[in-house]
Amino acid sequence: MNFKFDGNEWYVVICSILFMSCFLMIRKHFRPLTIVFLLIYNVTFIATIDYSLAATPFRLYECLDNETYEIMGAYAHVFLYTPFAFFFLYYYDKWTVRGINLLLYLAGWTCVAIFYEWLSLQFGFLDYSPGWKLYWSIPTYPIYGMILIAVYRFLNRYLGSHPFRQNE
Amino acid sequence: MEFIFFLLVNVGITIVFFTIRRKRLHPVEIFLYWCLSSLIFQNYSAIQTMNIKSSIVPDEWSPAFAHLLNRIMLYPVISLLFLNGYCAIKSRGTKVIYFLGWAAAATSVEWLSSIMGVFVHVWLKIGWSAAFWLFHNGALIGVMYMTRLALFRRRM
Repeated sequence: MNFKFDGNEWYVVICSILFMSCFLMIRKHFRPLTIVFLLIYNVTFIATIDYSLAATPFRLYECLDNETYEIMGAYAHVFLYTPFAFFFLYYYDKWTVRGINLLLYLAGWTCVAIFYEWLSLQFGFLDYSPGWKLYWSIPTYPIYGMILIAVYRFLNRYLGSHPFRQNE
Repeated sequence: MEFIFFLLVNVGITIVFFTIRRKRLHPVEIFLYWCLSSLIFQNYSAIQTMNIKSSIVPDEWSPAFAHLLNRIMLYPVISLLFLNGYCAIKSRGTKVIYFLGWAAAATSVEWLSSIMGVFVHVWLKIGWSAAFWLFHNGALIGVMYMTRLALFRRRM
C-alpha cells in the first residue's frame, strides 16, 4: 500500500465538498430514514460494482493511486457518488418524470455521468489502463438509474413519500 | 465446480429464508440488513485480498464468481436468518448462546469457502474470522435495534 495524498485525492475532496453542499440544500425533500436507507443502499451498490470490476473477478480498472483498497476509495463511495443518487431522485420527483420523459431523463443523466467519469479519468481518480473503456459505462448508468428508481419507490411505499413543497 | 456448488448453496439458503412463513423482519428491514451485511463483508474481503493479503481469491472464473455470489447473497441471507431467529427469542441467555452459535456457523461457512478454494485464507487465523463474525452480527443487532426504534418506535 503506497497511499499518498496528492492531486487525485484533492480532486475527490473538493468534488465531495461541492456535491455534499448541494445535497444539503435538497436534503429536506427526503425523509431522514429514506436518506439513511438510500445512503446504505448506494454505498453497497457502488462498493459491489467497484470491488467486482476493479478487483475480483474482473480487474478492469484501478481507482486512485494503486490496486489496493484505499481509504479515499471508501470516502468516495459515501461522499462523492451518493449525492448524485439524491440529485437524480430529487429532479425525478420535481419534474414528475414518467413515460417517454423517463428515457430522456436517463439519457441526460447518462451524459452527465459519462462527462464526470471522463473528468475523473483526467484527474487520475480512475485509471482504465487494465482494460475498461469509457464507452462501456454508457449502458450501466440507465440500468443503475432504473434500479435506483425501483428502490426509491419501494422505500416510499413503506416509509411514505415526501410531498413536494413549493419552495423546494 | 466451486461456482456450481455455491450457486446451489446460495439458491437453497435463499429459498429457505423466503419460504419462512412467519417472518419477523419488515420488508424494508430485510432490504437494509441485506445491504449492510453485504457491505461489511465486502469491506472485510477487500481489505484482506487487496491490502493485507491475508486471503486470496484465485484468478479463475469459477472461484471468483462463487465469491461474488457469496458476498452479495449467501452471507447476507445467513445474516437475515440469524436476525429473524434472534427476534423470536425472548430469554437473554438464549440470545447470547444463539448469537455465539451463529457466529460459529458463519465462521464455518467462511472456512468452508476457504477449503474449497474460493476465499482462501493464506495466513488468516480462524480466531480472526470468528471475531469478524461476532462484530458483524453484533453490528447488525445494533442497527436492527435503532431501525426498529425509528420505524416502529418500539424495542425488539
